[in-house]
Amino acid sequence: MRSGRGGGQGRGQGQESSGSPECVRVEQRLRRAADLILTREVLPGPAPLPDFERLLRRGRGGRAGRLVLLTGVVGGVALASMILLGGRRDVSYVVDGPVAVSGSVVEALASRGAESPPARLHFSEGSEIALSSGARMRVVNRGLHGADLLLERGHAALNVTHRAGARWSVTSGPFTVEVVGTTFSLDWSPADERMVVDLTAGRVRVRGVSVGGPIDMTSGERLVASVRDHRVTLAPLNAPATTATAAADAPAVALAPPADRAVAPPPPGGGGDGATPGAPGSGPHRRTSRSSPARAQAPGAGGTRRTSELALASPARVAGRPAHPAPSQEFPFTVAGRSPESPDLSAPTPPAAATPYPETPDLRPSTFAAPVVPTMTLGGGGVFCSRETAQYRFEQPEDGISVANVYTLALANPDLDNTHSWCGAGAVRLRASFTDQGRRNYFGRYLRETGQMIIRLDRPTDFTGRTVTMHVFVEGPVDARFSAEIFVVHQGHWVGSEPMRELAPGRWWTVKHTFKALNPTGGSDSSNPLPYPGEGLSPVSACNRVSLAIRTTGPRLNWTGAVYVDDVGWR
Amino acid sequence: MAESKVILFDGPGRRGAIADVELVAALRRREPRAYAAAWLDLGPSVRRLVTRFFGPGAETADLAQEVFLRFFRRIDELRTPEALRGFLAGICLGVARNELRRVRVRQWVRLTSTGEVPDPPADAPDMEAREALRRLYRLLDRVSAQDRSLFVARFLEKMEMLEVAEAHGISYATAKRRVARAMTRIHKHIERDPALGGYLDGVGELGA
Repeated sequence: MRSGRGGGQGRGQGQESSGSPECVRVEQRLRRAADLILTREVLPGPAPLPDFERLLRRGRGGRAGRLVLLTGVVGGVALASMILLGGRRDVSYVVDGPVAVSGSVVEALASRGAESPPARLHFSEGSEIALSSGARMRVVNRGLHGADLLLERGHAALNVTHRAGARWSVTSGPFTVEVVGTTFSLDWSPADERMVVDLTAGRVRVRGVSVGGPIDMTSGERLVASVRDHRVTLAPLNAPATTATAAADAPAVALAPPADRAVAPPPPGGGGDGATPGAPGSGPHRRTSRSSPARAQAPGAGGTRRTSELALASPARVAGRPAHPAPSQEFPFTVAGRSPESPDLSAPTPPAAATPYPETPDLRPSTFAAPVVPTMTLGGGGVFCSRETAQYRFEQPEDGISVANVYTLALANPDLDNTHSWCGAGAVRLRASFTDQGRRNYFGRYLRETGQMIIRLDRPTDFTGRTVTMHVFVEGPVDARFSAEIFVVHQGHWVGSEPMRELAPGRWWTVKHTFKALNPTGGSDSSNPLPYPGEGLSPVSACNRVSLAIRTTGPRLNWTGAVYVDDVGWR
Repeated sequence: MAESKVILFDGPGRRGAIADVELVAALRRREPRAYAAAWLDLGPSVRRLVTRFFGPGAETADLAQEVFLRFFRRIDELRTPEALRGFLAGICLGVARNELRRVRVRQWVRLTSTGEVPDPPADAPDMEAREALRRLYRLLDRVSAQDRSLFVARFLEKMEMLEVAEAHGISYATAKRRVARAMTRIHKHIERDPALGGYLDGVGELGA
């Protein structure tokens, strides 16, 4: 190490490091120590804007008082948490029967005889899972209220104890079954990419990209979902097919094509749950999901009800008519009138006995005239373009458009584009480069795991009670999955929506969120999972920015492509 | 919306040296908008420096606010607006040193109630590196605030020696001398911790 008097006026670190071998060694060690800190550094997250004018007037006394108050509040919360959480533990489990256990993976071995007990997992709160021979299940996560399970293959029968706040989920392939308390069985065939859910009691919700949106199942229903041919069947549980293979042979109906291309009319009363035609889980798909055959099968049901159900009739149950092709990116979009493949709504329905699932609903949306000739990428908004006026339509360059470049770096180069559009002829195109490597940000996410487009508003805007809507289209690999969240920024507080998960490239998605007077900041599975320092709630009465966050999720986290954003509005 | 004129802080038009001059001028005029602009643009780097000084998991919000309050009060002392960021870094290091001394005086030597450096809010599979990091910050807890500040400035902020001198309000020669002494002292502590020393040497071998 050189002494202070030695050496010239070299300013760079490299210049300062010359000297004896021992000095070089010292400096190299300290540099490695610094690298140890820097490579594991978590970048600080956004922080609310302090009221500097008031603080500058007040001086230091106020800060000390606030610290005392803050310490008291934190201490109180910590004490309350200790009291409330004392003695509570995550659910635990034991296994019995012919199983092989490796870490959190439980694999049921072949049964040694009829009298041999099945492989079972017994959870501490009373829930039980029986695995058929050859089934393989992973307990991914355990918590106070339940566990997240992954059925890698085979058949599992679950009996989840109903408790207040229970949260269980079972994932198989791209599907997730969310459970509160119920009895059901799950069958997943990785080779066929097919899942069968038999719900004996209770309610479950099935999510997954191939499902199109959350499907709520009630007791006595069977859901068969196939990744390969994009089909979902919701049928009575007492139907003939009992396995994934057999169920697949039953006449399935085509999965709903992107609802945004369906340009269906809004549901009466503004949509009820706030879903929009472009949003997954909304519109016709959702209604047909709830129109289970069990409910629609009542013989003699006629009149208005029957007519309304016939409007959703599947060609699969019309004798002599071919089933709809599986929806894909080449799914024919009907501009006006009925699809040539759609059944004649005035025609009588064949007898129920004609097919095993005579009332299986068609998950395709009905078709209406669109004001522009749509394609996969243009005119996705259809008739809604004339009904809903967005504040930002991106038909021409807009000021204040940027991307976040500190904590979320996956999106870059915002530019006007005319190849994709929800309404009109223009949208914002952003270059996307997602990866799950490198440094992590304040929220524990990789820097390029999330990207954000930011719109800086020209005046403070009150979003209380307002619904912000954005439309997003992603170009990327077919197996890429992403989530989308809307954020508004109130005096530095980033207030986000619940992430819209398991979205897939190749279609327009509608993301919307209604903000309340006080909104939680941060949330599990969000791109901003942590609440802001010291504060969990924020108003949205004076926001100066609106943002859309796209986060890569699913099995493929590294991909490049483009994100198009169009028609950003609120009302 | 199209006619709105806003300053971009997030995008490619991020402020540079020229805008620093404008920002300093606005701060000297005590314009409230300038306070917000300074916080938005310079806040992340201040919080990052504070985090580097105290270690992961340290509470940075109050200290960052204190840094900016001092920065706004002392803005008239800034001779050349182009040196804004160095000036702010110097204030930040000063606040951090004072905070460390204050904490030590109060016998709150440790960063947390348990004395452990909190892990980042992400899963960190490299247990060895995590342990090395914990040991490194424990080691830094044992050196003086001045030595720690010099280490942060020189090796974490990668300041050049002249910048180190300016940030600490000392001459160039004094800065060189003190940095050299700080390096020696910190290295002695590393020598006393074979696990940490071995890890750092191992990283070097892997890197080579």
